Amino acid sequence: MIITRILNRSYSFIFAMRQHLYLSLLSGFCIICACTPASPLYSQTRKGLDIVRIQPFRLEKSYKFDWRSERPDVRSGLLVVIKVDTSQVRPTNDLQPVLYAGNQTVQRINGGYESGYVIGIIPGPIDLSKEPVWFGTPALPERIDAKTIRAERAKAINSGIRPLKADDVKSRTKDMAAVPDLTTLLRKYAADLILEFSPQEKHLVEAWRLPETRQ
Amino acid sequence: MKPYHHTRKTFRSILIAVAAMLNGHAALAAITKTELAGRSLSVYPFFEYVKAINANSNVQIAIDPTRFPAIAGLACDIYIVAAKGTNGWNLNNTLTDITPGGKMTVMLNGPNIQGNTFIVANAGDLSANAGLGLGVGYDVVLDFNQNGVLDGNDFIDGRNNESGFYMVHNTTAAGPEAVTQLNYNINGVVATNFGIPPGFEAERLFFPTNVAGVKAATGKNLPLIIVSHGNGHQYIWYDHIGNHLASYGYVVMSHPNNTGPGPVSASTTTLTHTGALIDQINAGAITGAGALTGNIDVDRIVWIGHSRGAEGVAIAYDRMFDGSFVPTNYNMADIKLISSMLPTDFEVYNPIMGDLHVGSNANPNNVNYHLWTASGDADVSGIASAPRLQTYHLHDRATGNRQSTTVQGTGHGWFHSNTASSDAFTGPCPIGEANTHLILLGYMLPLVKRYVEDNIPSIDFLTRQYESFRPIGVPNDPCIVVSHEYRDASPNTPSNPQKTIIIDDYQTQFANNTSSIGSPVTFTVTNLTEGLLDDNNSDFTWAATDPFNGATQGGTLDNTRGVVFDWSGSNLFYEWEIPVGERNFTDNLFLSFRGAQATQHPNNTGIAGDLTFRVTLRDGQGVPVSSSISIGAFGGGFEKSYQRSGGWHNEMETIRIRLTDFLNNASGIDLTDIVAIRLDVGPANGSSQGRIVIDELMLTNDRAVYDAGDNGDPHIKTVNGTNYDFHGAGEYTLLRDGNDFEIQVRQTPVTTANPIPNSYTGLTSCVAVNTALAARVGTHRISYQPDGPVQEQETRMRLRVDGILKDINALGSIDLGAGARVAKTAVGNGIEVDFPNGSTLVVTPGWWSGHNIVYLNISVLNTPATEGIAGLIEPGQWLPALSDGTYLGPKPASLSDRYKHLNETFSTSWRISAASSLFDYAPGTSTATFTLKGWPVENADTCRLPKMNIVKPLSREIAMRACRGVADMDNRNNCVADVMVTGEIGFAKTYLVAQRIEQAGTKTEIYPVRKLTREGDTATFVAVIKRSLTGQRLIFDGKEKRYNIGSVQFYLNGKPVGRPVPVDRFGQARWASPKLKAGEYKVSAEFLPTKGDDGNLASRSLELIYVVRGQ
Repeated sequence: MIITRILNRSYSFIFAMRQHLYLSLLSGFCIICACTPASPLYSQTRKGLDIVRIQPFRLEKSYKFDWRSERPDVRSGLLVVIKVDTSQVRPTNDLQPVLYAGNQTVQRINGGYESGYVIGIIPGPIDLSKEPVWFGTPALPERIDAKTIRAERAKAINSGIRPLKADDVKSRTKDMAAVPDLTTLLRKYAADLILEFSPQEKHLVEAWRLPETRQ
Repeated sequence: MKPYHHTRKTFRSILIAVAAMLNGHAALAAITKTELAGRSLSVYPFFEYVKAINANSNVQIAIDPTRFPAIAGLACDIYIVAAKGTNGWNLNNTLTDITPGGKMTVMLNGPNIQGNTFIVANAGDLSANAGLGLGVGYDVVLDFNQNGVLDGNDFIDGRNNESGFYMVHNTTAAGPEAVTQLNYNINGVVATNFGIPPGFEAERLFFPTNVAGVKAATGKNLPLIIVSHGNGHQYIWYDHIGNHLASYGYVVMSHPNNTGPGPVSASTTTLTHTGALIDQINAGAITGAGALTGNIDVDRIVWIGHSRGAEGVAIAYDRMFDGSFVPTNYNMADIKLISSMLPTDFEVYNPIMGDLHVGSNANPNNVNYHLWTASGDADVSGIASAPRLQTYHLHDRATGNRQSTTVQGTGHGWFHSNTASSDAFTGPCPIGEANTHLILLGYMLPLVKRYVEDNIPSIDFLTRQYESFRPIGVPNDPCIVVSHEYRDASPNTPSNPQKTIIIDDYQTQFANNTSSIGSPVTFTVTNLTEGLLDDNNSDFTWAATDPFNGATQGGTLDNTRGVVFDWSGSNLFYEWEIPVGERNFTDNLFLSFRGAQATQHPNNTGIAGDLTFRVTLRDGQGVPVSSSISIGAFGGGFEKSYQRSGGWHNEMETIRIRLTDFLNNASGIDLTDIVAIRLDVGPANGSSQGRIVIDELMLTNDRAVYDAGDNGDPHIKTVNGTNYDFHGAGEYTLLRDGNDFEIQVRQTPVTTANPIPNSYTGLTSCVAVNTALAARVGTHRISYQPDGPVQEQETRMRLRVDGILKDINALGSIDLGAGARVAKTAVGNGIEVDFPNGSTLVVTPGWWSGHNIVYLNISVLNTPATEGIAGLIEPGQWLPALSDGTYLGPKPASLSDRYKHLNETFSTSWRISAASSLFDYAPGTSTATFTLKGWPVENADTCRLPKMNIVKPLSREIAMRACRGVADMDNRNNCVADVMVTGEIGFAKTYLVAQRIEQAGTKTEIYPVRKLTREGDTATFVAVIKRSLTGQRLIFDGKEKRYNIGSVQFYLNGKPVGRPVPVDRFGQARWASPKLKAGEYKVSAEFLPTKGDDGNLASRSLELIYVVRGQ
């Protein structure tokens, strides 16, 4: 009985959200459409997201990856700059479309709403000429597990999302950055990418580069 | 009718003419403590007694001659006095009026309260400059004998440690302290050690530049406040909160919050940053913040969160609550308040699917919790179709003190300070960011002070209707609509310190015609439904199939419930019958309930503003008397829901009505015998039509009473929880309150193997034990002291009442009048004393065979008393006040000075005299007989007294094993120390017996169903079984399996009648007598717990005198 009710309410919710968006547009209110999650697969993602910079990295000290439920230890991966449709990255406290790459979720370093560029971390070895990058169903990344990723990946591929061309990957990939830890990666490499691609979010850089307390 | 005001000048001239009439008026007998200060109302009850008065308002006082007939027609001098507190008044009772015009002389010749309402100070006359505080306290005295002294006949509002009223300043304005702001990253190694995710190490710290000055002013280290932002927000957007609270003496830190993955990840950032900040401040590792090192109070921490971060702070607490996260340098009890601004609700516990993140639920549990809701929020929007975006869920899950503030016309983005980001607002009548910040800061300050400092006037900000009382700095703008909910945690705590009685919270007894306390509910209102406070579809459009339309207090997985009903054009009612045993309303200050207009209901759409109705009490007199008060009398009613999309979610607010208001102007109602509470709705009572939600009808109080202890050798637990050792030898005042409550103890020095150290005082001392006790119980005096033969061991203890020996074992209990009694405890050969002021004293004797003496463990429960060796330790002091009201100051650095403070000055101060002693003495003895000045000896090497055996100490391991069943950690530590030093394992048994009495003790009360019975009729009596500690009846709800807690044996004229009657699920049993002849009968009841049930102890009621009249 309760399950039925939840399902009914979920269905009603989707309908109501669409209606709400429609009414909001009609009324002319300027709303950050927090209560209107994006559709599961946004049409522009059909051809895959454009990755404009790829920075491989290797860390001496691993860190816990919070952007999927298994919280794996990450020691290497790609620091990427992804050009996005800003409607996918509107700041909200409601569910947001989850950014995926192959069999991973992408850790978003910045918001990207104003600039249209998201700087993110894709854990582990991944070949972006073989793996797609896309926005999936709105969710909380900390709840996403391997099973969900597989399902989202299948949906993405079925909808026609394809990886970048190998030449593009090659031309946009920088030399390996070997750094002690994630904090250093952020302060040295991610910071520069923020300043280059999303300078509106330089506050992130300023925070990373504040002086440290004494140990 | 306009209130009847007089100015000070008017009455000064009248004074002289009538002064002579007043002297020596014999009708008054003693100082009367009552509420006097407040503000006049235009309708009944015509005056609202308050604690906080804004600095820009005048001060009024009122007294109702129909409530206090003895003052009718008298003249008196009204004094507004700088608040003195209990000890201050005891020290100096002269009256010094501090208003510009001096004391004001008036004639109390008005026929009603309006006629005796006076403006005693104009706006600005009295200072509200409280420095770091919230308000300046004043006491009000009506000096009837006009002698300039508080004495015999006078009335006072104040006197104790709660002032008569407080002039409060503009809480939206910055405080007096300059603020230092620092920005830095937590060192990488430290961040890793504490678990802060890489990239989130930054902190933005605000603190008063003059840390030493703040500490000197408050006498305490500075509390910590942590701000955790929401998703898409930045930690540098909360400078308004940081600067504001730091200017009032708090240390505020805002940090980047890991909200992107979700609120559980955010909770980790809150938890870890709190620990890292404490670590780095204490290590002096933050450049520019050295002044804070050693000066922060990690026992007083506040978490503030926004959106996902607001859910995160609740999750963070939940993770500590269930042990899935264990902080290293603070703990759960240190979190004094969580304030969630516009929280999401992703992490609801799902009983079907299980815990998505084990131990990570959006549940504030028992923490003091506050919720902000923005009705124009376009982000965490509250929309019907998305429970994860409904803020109220978290509030309704909280079981601690909880309150919510709902603000209309504001959006999600106006709670932070970034104007460039989105407002995230939708709806009519926007109030903007500036006004939102004024409301936020104006309420945040009293909110924090309430829970960090137990500040008294702050509660007015949280409980009174916004229309009648709000922060001064918030402009008068019709678009600004604010609603408050407030509920104290007492019913959910083991001791129910505020003696809250829940009449109906709808959480049990789901039938429409039964309240949760088990009494009948009747109604004529229409379309009534009890149920989950959850809109059951995806919109707020009214539909009969969605009776709780607009309710977003809970989701489908929650259990918060209430009732909805409506009316249209007719005068209808909804009425709760008050069960026998709960009809005396005089133990509580307020009748309280929460409710809201049901959004978009046709009955409400036509209501322009607030919806009102009347609350009526009816008593059980032969000709019942009723008294009614409109909920609109105090300035507002239930607010109209925010008109976003035609009406957004229901905005619950709490209505609190002072119970004595129902007495005003000779209403004649008997508050000791209220048989019904009724909501009267309809055109004769307020709004002609409407549909409302109602929930949480209860009787409650404003402030907690205290528990104290004096155990073992002796370990004192003060009323505010400080545990310290005091080993003076002689007779002392343990606690006292006014003229009718005092407990005195006799401490006898004993030989032990070695002196023992005490962690609080730092002193290593020889010890004493409690060996006798005496008390003032209203108009009676009792003593409990040994005077039998030594070989009788525990039974040597003798009870005397007013000097007359009483065999408590034979009597069971002795009625001392005014609700007081002394009774034998159900276990342990001790006594239990109930005082007229509600305090309970439990005395548990133990036998120390090594010395052949009886020692006493003493617990004082639910007491308002704050003076004595177990008295209140004020901020900045290390010991309770001395008996003359003065203080010894902070803890001295040197042990020698501490010894002198404690064992000389303090000990001498509270040592009783022959005149003040309540003990009974054998001929030739006095208190001096039991006094050994100089004990304990400073720096003693051994602890030997003449004629006392040397005892062999026991090891810590043995002591710990013996004491492992003692639940309270302080008591367990004390128990271990006692067993070790005395070598007597029996000390542990005494602790356990005392614990069992506290935890399982019951009280049986007996009431007649009808007050009058004629000869030849039967009479029915109800025995109500309550938990001694809480005063709550032993209810178990219908969801539990059938459970029999025991039965009640009734007695008629001392003889058992019939068979024991099973106790029903409402904690009561009924017995109908046979037909009775005219005469006087003694009826009593004894609760007999089910055999094998360790949860409840037996108890017996006092004898009820019942008169049967002739035909």
